[in-house]
Amino acid sequence: MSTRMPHGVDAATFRKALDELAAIVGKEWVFVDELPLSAYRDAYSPLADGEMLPSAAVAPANMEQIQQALKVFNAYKLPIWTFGNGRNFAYGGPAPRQSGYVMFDLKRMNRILEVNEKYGYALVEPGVSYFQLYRHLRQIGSKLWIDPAAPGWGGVMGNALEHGAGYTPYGDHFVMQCGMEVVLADGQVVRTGQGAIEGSQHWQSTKHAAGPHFDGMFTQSNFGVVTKMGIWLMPEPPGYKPFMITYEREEDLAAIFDAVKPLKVNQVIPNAAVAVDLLWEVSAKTTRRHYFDGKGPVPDSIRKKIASDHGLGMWNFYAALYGPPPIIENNWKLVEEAMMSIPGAKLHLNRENDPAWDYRVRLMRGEPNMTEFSIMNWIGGGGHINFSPISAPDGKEALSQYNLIKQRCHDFGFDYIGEFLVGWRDMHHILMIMYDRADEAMRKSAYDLFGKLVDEAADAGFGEYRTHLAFMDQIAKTYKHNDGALWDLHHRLKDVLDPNGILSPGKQGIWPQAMRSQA
Amino acid sequence: MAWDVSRRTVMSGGAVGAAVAGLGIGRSALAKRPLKIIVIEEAEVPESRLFAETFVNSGRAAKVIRIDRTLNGLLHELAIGEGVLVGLTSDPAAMIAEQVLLADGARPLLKWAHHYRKMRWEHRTDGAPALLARASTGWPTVLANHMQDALGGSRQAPDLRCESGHCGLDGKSPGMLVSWAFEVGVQQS
Repeated sequence: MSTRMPHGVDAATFRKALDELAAIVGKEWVFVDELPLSAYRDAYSPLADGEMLPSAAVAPANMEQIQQALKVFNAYKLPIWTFGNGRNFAYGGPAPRQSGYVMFDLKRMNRILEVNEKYGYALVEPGVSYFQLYRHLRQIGSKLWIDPAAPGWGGVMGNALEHGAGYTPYGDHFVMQCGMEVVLADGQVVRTGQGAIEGSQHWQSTKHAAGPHFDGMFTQSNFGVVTKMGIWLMPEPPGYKPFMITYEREEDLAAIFDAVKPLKVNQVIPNAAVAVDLLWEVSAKTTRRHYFDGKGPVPDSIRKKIASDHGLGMWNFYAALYGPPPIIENNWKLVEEAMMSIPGAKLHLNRENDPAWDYRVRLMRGEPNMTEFSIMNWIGGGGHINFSPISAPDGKEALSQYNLIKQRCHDFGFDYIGEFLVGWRDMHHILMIMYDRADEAMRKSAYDLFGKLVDEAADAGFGEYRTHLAFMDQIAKTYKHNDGALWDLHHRLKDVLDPNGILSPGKQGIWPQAMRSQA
Repeated sequence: MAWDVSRRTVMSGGAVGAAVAGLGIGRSALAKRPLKIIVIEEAEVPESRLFAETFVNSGRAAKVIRIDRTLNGLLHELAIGEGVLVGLTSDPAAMIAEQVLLADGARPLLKWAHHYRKMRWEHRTDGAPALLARASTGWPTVLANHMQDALGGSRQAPDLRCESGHCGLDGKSPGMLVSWAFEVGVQQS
């Protein structure tokens, strides 16, 4: 049995609680030994080994078991860490916020409860992965697409709750969420939106209902356990035209976003368009050591050779058009005129034997895959954390962020490896800080770099939309308008909804009252 | 005490999990019975192909599962029932396999690292350093033979490190590889 315990709980009391939990979920679904608990660690953690490890794990099979288990957690004041699939490894994977928490593992709840072909949605439980939903749709002959996160083993619900993004026109996953069932800390079950109408047939069809919208409150939060969620699915379009345009110069980034902004806002380009930097793009095909075995960032002269060898630009822009062929044809003229007006732009409509092209084309048509992990070969050793500021899709802003962040990466000896993704009206900047987990100095530098970027980004007026467990408190503190009024509100809600502070304490920097002083 | 490793070790199941956690475990038990060995080959990685080929040529591989560059097969093809899964793969592929197999109750048997830097391969394994160091670019063959010995119980000194002589790196090689083995679905007593 693990020697870790929830804070403030003695071994005998903990054992008693676990016995009660075993009586609810079945003895075989309570895990206390090191081997099964090792499945709940963050394989790519930026922290030293031995941090953020659980004391035990409990895997309920249904909502009723969740309700009963919550009674036990409340009775013993056990902190739990709730998750569905736990595959978001750039952000902590399944690991708990602090060592000693009890994992509340919802992977057994993996039913696809409904697929509605007519209205284009699915109703899923927390453990349903993108691959599972994709295969199910193919098996039943559905003409609906999914929108997977880049690694397809992630959870449909979890990714939406974490504000994740994909690459089809349905790429903003929380926007495409419709209707939730939530178990509150006291065991009460709430359905949001039209789900609160008895016998409603429209729970997954419309977000609107009388009264406030609460769905957002259960995302990136610790106010309840979401047990069902509706997700809109895109009807297979009659036409699909993926494309890639390479741009020669780093400073072209500003022109790219100035060109793409009207195309995105007016939905000429309907999907999540993305500008990928050279090293991210090439890392699916080769590794750093094939070009440069020295310390510090890859020199410019070698970057130019990489671009030349692989037919890439300093920025590589991917997007796609969807719909009836005549509409695609017309919209393509607008895209070509705008995006090809930048000097040096090269258009690609197909790239043979190019894994990066293949990976993007699959993602933009909703085919889950795991290719993104091959990018980790660039450095090797698996470590990576994503720094993810969000802002308006503005060329000047993008270039300013790029220059600031690239300089900081270089100051700390790292390559800039990033992409800018434009949703409908916003821009996600994803910097992937890669490091070798076995190189302690490199891991520590990656951690320090991330912390510095958080503060500098906040000083420049932009914040992150998502983050690794290790930085949740720091990022929460950057939201400091009116003396931190927003997080004060989160804390007031937390204290009312979860007075014992059992649900995922510290998630997104939201702590229960008893633990707040330590944060 | 009988237990089933096809499901995760459970509460009140004793100290089984603690005893087997980590690397280099349970080999004596493995040596007592014939093993069905299934090799995972990462088709894009030349060293992985050579490693799998050695297992096949030795007659010890019951099956080879080839994973293409999407790595999707790691999610869908590792459910083999009973036996030992082995691989020499890229680091990300090893991580994915580990996550999937641990969640399914598999037992880690060994995990070794192979890292190319400054024109040499560095190997961190249990035993056989001299053989690996001399092998240069043919090291996956030596490794496969050594792993068969290790799984068969002829274990040598733990946690050794060695470097090859100067050698090139295949253009398709990631240059940082992991060799690994997991036991899955085996009833023990």
